[in-house]
Order: sequence, then structure tokens, then C-alpha cells
Amino acid sequence: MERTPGIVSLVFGQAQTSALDEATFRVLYDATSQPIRAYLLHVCRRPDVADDLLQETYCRYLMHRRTDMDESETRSYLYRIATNLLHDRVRSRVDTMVPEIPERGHTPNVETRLDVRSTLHRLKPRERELLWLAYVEGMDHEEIAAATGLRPLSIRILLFRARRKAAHLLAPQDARKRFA
Amino acid sequence: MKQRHCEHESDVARAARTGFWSAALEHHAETCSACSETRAVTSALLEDSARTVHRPPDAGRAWLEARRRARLHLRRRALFWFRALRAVTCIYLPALLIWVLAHHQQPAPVEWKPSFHTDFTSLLTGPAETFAISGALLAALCITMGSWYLVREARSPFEHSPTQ
Repeated sequence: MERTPGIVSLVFGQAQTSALDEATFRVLYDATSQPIRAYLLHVCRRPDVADDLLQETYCRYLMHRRTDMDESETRSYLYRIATNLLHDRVRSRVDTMVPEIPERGHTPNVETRLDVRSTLHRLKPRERELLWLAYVEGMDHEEIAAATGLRPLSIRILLFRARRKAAHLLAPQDARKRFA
Repeated sequence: MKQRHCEHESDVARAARTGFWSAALEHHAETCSACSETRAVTSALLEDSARTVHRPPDAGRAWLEARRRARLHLRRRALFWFRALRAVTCIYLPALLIWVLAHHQQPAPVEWKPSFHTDFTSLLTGPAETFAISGALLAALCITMGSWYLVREARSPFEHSPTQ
């Protein structure tokens, strides 16, 4: 899940000086699409929706990108687009009628899989976003603020609440009483 | 009382991601409530992520879709100017008809001869001249802008780069 700064820097360096051609875009896509898809899938829970939102994210990036963005800004910009798309989807409530579709190649109803996944999915989308960006992507509060559109000062408390809630849900039943 | 924040949270999360735990950090994560929560949550998130195959769709799909939208955007811009031209025409055609009728009230000559030497400049004076010139300029502007967007659309590739 860790990034490869060498390749990404090379790509972003080229992107600053020239128009983004398809070959450059492919390198950029290969370097960034996997973690963004994982983020989208973690929040929206449906692989088909995650793929659609991923494509939409890169389409919007290609349509509206600024040429003077550096690596960090581009990464935040991509996450910002993805987050906005997720919020649009949550607001439109299209997922409430559709059950979660399992990822291809994985068998549903596996006890261990359900334990963690069902627990994490009891969190709100915003909480899942914050936890993922902070702990899986390793973003600091400023980067999370740039990616989510929240104020940096709010991130600290929101992240604390989300982490507390997740830890409470993940704890065994007897430990939960101690939490409470 | 439980600790809300700890300065080592990010180090704990990084260690959980990479699997490299120093003895001191591991000991700290066991004793600090904030860091133990961070460790548990990060491990759960990674566990959930590891069970899923993250194979993004091909980059070409996104590239072609973006190209298609870019062309559509240019076509819409061109359409805007051609619609403006149509609106200008809708205003100027009735005005031209009224103007022609108003200036042909005198009886027609007995022996009519087609002539291209009619002196319209003597008729186009004052407000009529301003109206006609502004109409011509507006039409020229609409045609130029619409054509410019169409040329840009025609130049933008709608297929993969030759290198692909």
C-alpha cells in the first residue's frame, strides 16, 4: 500500500511541463489508482460502484486539472474528487436499495471476513473515510483536510471519535463493557 | 481516563502498515490507550483491505472517457455560439424585412432592369447603419467562435495515442 515516490515524482515532473499524454497518464494511473480504488471500495462497499467512481475520478481530473500541481497536491486532488463523488452518492441514497455485492473470487459468509468487515461497515461513511486516510494512507491532518474538504482543526476530534467508535465495535463483547 | 491523542499515533499506524515494530514502540502501543486503539483499528482496516483484490480497471477506459467528454464539451461550446447566431438571425431577419418593405413603398418602375448598382449606402444611414453593422459583427463573432471550437474538437484525438 506504500507509494513509490520515484515513479510518481517522474510522472508529476513531466506533467508540469507538458500536456498530459496517454502514456504519462497511464503511469500516473498505475501509481495512484490502486490505493484510491481501495479507498472507494472501503467507503462505498461495492466493487462495481468503486470502479465507476474511480473512472469518474480520473475523468474529472483530466478535465479540470491544473498543470502546476505537484505530487502531493495531485494526490490530494484525486482523493478530494473521489471523496466528493462518494458524498454525492451517499446524498443521492442510491445504495440504500441495493445489497452489497461481493468481490469476485471471494466467498461470502466466511466468518472471519464478516467479523471485521461488518464491524467496520457499521461506521458512517465519513468515519470510514477519515480512518482510511489517516491509518491506511498515512495522511496527516492537513492532507486529510485537503482530501475531504473539512477544516484541519475538525479532523483531530472527528478522527478521535471515529477511532474510538471503531475500536469499541472491534473489541470483544466483554471488553466493550469495559470501554463503556 | 482514556487518552485522546498521542504523538506516537502516526508511528504506530505506520508500524502496523509496514510490520516493522521497534521494541519501544510496541511496548508503548500496549500501554497507551490511544495507540492501542490506533493499532487495533489500523490492523482491522488492513485486514479488511487485504481480503479484497484491488485490480483497477484499465487506464485506457478512463482516458477514452475523458477524451469523449472533452470533445462533447467543445461541441457544446460550439453549439452555444451557433445557437446565438440563430437568435441573432431571428432578430435580424424580421428587421430586414421591415426595413426592405419600408424603403420600397414608391411605385415600381415600368421597365424594370436587374441592377447590382443600387445604392444601398444612401439608405443605410443613422440607426439603420449601426443596426446593420452590429448585426454583421455579431454574426461574424458567432461564426468565428463556433468554428474555433469545432476545429479544436476535430483536432482532439478520440483514440489511443500512437505509442499505445
